[in-house]
Amino acid sequence: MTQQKLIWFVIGALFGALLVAGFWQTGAVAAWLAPAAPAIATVLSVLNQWIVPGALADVAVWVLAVLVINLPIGYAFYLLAGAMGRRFELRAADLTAIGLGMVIAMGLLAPHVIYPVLVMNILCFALFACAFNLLIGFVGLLSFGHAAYFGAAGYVSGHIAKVWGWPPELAILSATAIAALLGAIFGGIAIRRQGIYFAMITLALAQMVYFFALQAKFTGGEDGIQAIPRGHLLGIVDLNDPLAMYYFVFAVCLAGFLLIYRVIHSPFGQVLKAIRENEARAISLGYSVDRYKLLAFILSAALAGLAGGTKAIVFQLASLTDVHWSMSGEVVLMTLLGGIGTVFGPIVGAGLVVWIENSFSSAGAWVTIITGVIFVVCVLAFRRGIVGELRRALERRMAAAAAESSIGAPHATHARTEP
Amino acid sequence: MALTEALADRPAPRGVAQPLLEVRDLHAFYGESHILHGMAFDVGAGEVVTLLGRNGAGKTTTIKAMLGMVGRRTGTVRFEGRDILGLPSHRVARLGIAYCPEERGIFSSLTVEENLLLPPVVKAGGMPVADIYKLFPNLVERKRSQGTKLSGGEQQMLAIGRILRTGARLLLLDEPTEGLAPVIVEQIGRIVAHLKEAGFTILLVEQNFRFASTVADRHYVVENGRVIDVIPRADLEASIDKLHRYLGV
Amino acid sequence: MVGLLGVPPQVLFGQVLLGLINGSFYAILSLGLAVIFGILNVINFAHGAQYMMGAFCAWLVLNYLGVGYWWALLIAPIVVGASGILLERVFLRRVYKLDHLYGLLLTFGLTLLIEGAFRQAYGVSGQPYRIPDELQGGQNLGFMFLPNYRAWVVVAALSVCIAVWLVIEKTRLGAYLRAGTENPALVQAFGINVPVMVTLTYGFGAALAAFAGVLAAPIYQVSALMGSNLVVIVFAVVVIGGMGSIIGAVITGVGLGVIEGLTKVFYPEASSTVIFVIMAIALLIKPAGLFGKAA
Repeated sequence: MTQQKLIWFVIGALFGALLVAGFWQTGAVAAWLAPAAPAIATVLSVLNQWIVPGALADVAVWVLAVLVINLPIGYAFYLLAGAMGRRFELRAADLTAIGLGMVIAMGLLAPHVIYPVLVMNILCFALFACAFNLLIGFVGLLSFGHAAYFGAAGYVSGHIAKVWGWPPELAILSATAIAALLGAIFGGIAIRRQGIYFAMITLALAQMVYFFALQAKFTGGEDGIQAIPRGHLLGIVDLNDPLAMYYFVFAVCLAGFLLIYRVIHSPFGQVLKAIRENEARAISLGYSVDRYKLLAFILSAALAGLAGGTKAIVFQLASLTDVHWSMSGEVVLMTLLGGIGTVFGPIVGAGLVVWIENSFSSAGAWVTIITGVIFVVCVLAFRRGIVGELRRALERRMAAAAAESSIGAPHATHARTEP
Repeated sequence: MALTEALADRPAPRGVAQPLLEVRDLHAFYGESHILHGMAFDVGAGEVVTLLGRNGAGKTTTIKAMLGMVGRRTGTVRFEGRDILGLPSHRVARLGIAYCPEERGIFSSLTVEENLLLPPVVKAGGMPVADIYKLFPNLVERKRSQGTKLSGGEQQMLAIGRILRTGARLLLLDEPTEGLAPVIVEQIGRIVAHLKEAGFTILLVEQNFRFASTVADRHYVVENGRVIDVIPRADLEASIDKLHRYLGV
Repeated sequence: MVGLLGVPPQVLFGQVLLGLINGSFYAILSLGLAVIFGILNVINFAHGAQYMMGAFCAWLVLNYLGVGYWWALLIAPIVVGASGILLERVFLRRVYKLDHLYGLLLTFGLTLLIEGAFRQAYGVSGQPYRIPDELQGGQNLGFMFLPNYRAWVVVAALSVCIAVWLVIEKTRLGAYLRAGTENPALVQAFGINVPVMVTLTYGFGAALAAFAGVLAAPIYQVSALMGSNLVVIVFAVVVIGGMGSIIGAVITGVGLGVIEGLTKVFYPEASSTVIFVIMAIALLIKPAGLFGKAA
């Protein structure tokens, strides 16, 4: 029972985190912590000597909020679970459902408490990261040039919406199709080598796209395509309204995310996992491994394109940054930080990285330095990522819980589905 | 004839009070697998001793454990009275222990001569290169060939030859006759005998006990990672049936 | 002398020379990458950053210590080589037991760190570095004008490449390196301290990159980003040439540089992408690389 209570503690803490994030913008959190303000101010003024002031203030308050709000709420859940007894025991599949529920709830509520453009940014990158994760987490292929599909789709979507005047949904769909085509071509070339060579080839191919975008007329070179019209969805809904735009983006990203989830848990997904675990064995079992890899690659590229095409409409801009190798590196970081091979990891990673970039945007190159530090730390000490570590901790608790509730426990030991 | 000439001025073996190599209660693990379960044997200076056993008995693992090439190991391995079990491989080699691996380990990116000269001299008194070439004449004309272009037998000669230059006193030979034609096996037998005469101490790992019987002073039978029998040379004839059973021949 | 296809000889040979220079840099950098990959099995993304650090080192010692170009050619590789040794011991060593992809990710992260730091300190715009007096001016060869410094760069870079090749293929030290690449456990059992050899090799690779950086300083502006754009092209060069052979890396590097130069003359729009196109074609025809052994 203790194990179950601990699981509920974690859930409660996460719920508390949601509350903090949700009410952050409304200033309620800052107000809550007002009494501690002098102490915070002293600590900050010391640190301000040598690190960017604004961003650190945010981080410090956030950390304090976590300690003051999340932990008590978590503990409350812990006690509640204890009081409620066995009726509230959880299985692994429930965790996935809870995760999904939290994501949807957050998504629906977000624009009302956080600046919508920021959340839309996070959503687009979350989809991008999930698409990338499909390749590395479930097939074991590191595509180090995924920005090619993300950025190219942005250009296509922008051009179609602005120059051809097509409605946004068609622009985005066309962009996705082009990204899929690009994925088919590049994937076909890259798949001829394995492992590290594959990564280098994808990087080089993406660089080719970058140089093309730099020179081609329709991409606008250094300026990019600007003032992309948001248009009217299906001719009816005016996407210039921030909430309308938001819910459209949310719907698109949720659809993409659910598609990935279905693919992972389908027979096709099982084969992909088999290929990642032991390619030689998959070949000996008769699977045409190259074809599966290529299909996964095309799917991943297409979804990355979906994210990029949508982002261009949201921000009304398609630029070189989106095809640069640093963008490819960013999506790797998001997935690594969140958890390679987990279902929710890329979303968490995307949220964190976008938030960090946002907070430190005035600090110039510090963003790059911090990104580098996080990369190094993750590779050396934190390879499972946030969700990966969380999942491992929960799985351990589940197994211990199953052992605790000895006789007549048909569930929990088969906790293999990833939350 | 050429052999004795080459080995003419080697120091004569001397009697020892303490064995050159002492192994006691050696356990070794590959990850979770417990491979050696308390190996124990002695090798006196100037002796040729074999570890006999079937495939997978743990013979090669014993050698590797001594050299520090295996993951986790516990127990005692004493060389010249000094405990060497915790040392990294290169330090073990520098104490005067040379290794001739089972796969021969000839480097394909090196010529025959480069292979021969690769192991560094760790002690004085190693065999000069000219003498090694006298011992193994067919290596001379293939000096500049790529190492792996040699036949199996020639590669084995090269693998043995290159460790003679280092000045190491203890030679670890892992299945030197594996996969070789009987003529070459005989040749290797003669070389081992002459190396013994010249004062080298040799620990031989073998499955082929007929070959082992021609050269060794003592046989340790290894099964499942431990020594199950010791057969001195004198008792060999009497123990033939036992050996057949142990080795499943 | 008449030009080719209507292109005046000055322009043609000028571009070929430029191509040779770029090619020399590609050669020396892909050589360093190949050597490091051979012994460490890690793709050193930080190679570009080490090249940049070499250039910056030259600029820094000139501007703060008054130390000139010729000393910089010696100092920069030593300093950057030492930093490489530190990097290997503290960071890279921990990823050897993992999937090779983590090595790429780690060096990528380190690149971001290093480049970010230099960008923060010195901004994005390049710092100028003067061509040393001894190498100013040029020779008029009739069909083209050959700047002394650029000729020196090609000679120096290719000499270093040949010297490295000689050391690796023809010396005892090189034999240890080649053997260590093939079977490090056995080499260690012979008495060579392989981990130290690995560390020193990485340091040497970094020093090579830094040397190239010093050579580059007077030609390209010394800026924090000069390395990373170059390193992606070098990746393509390495994929085309295959990483198994040193001579292969050099020939491929120089050859691709010249092809790039020629493309600039006859089809300028494609000049920045031609190497990648060649890479794509090479992969379809010979996946293991022109000089490579099957991976």
